[in-house]
Amino acid sequence: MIYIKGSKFDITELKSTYPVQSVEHKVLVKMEESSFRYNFKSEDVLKFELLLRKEIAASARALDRSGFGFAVFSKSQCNPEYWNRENNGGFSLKQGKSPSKAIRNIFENGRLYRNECATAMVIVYYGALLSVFKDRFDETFPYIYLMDWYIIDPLLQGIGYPRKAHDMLIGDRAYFKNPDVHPETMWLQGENVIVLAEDLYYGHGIGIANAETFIEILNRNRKEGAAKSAYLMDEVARPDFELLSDVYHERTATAQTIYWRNMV
Amino acid sequence: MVYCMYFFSFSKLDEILKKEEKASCQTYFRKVLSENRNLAIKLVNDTRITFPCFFVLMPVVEKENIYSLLREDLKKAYDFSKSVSANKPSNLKKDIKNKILLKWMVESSHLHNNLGGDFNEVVDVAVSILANEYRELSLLGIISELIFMRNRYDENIHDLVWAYFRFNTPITLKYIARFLDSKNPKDRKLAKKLLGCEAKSCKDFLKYMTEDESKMIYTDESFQYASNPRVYAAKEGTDHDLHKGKQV
Repeated sequence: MIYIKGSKFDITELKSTYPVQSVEHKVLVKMEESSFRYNFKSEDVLKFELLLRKEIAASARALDRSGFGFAVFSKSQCNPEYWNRENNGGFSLKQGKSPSKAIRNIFENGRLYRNECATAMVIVYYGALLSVFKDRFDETFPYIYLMDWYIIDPLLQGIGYPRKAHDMLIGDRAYFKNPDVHPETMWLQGENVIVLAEDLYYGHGIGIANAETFIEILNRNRKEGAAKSAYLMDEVARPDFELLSDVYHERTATAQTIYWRNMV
Repeated sequence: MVYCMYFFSFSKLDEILKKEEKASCQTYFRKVLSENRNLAIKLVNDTRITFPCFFVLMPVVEKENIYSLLREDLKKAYDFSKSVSANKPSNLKKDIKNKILLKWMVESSHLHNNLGGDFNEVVDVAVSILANEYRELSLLGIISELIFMRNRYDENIHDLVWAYFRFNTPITLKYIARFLDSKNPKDRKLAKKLLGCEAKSCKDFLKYMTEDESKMIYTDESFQYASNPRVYAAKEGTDHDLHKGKQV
């Protein structure tokens, strides 16, 4: 069910503007058919969420194709032309460099970069936001720090807070947990993924696959005598679509961006 | 067998590492090797040597081809470190000798600072094995110190924190709570993050915890999963939640 300003929203007209196989169409129909009540303050916010979800899925597929390598934090690598590699294995944008060019560089020269699965998720979100905000990306995200969700832009904080969700939608961040992971392969304690379609996920280091494949790979890396299988958790993390929509439609000042820059 | 002498006095090589850079320690060791090989072997095999110091010297051991002259436990530490760095299984079987070796690696690791990601990765795996396979609770104090020490240098703590909480006992929280009273604001900030509560002092936290620890359940959440992992949550049917008021 979709509600806008407290009233039930008829999706017929909006649905007709998207091709049947498009992400927007699929998400809209899933929201409509759900018993959960999806509330929006305007149709613009709903449209923005649909657009951003489409771009998140596209960005995940693009990062998968980019050659971006897997490495634990201690062995992470980045292109020093755009990024500083920090002590903790994260990447911070070099002073004077364009955020949009630096993000685009990851997708275009993925082989120059290596990091683990959570940081890859953050890169996916920035890639999607770059496609949406286009030439306004640099002013909206002037400072970028890529290191999972430990240090994260206030505009993206939602992706670091998974919560129970009624539905798993395309563009959500989900997590395969491996409770009996082998103690020597800590990075396989779980796998962060982006939902791409019904039972199709992108996880950095594994690629694009269904749930069974992710679980099988994680299960191969369990301790001796493991009793518990890896599984897909029933929680998802989402960016604050409404906040981002407000910024996109210039209803919110960028004061918090300035605050974040000074904080790191 | 590795002894615990490093608690009382440093080896010659450790003294150099403590006073100078990693490179100086390596240069000194190389120099002694070229001038008096027997003395150099004696220095590296000193029972007081710490794992960080040995780790720093590993490239010299490799280059100068002196692996075969190392004590047996140092050979094992060398092999273990190489396996971890190559992301390969160490095949270190579970026995008392290996437990003592891993304990030495972890216990002595806080005696030198800021040795870099490769070193930290080896220590993280050692902690993970000690937590998951041996449940060596005597190390909780030292591991909690290590977490905060690394954080002061802005080094990565994610795997170490995960491995630490895999000891799967609320006692881990009590050790973290000590840092609520630290004079260092970075310590206090991290302690609050790891405890997931707004307790202002260790005393406050312990009072809260002792009300009923048994109502808390380990969740195994980590930084790989969430910005502020809820490592312990209230058991179903109880209201004993450390994370009251937290955004979830």
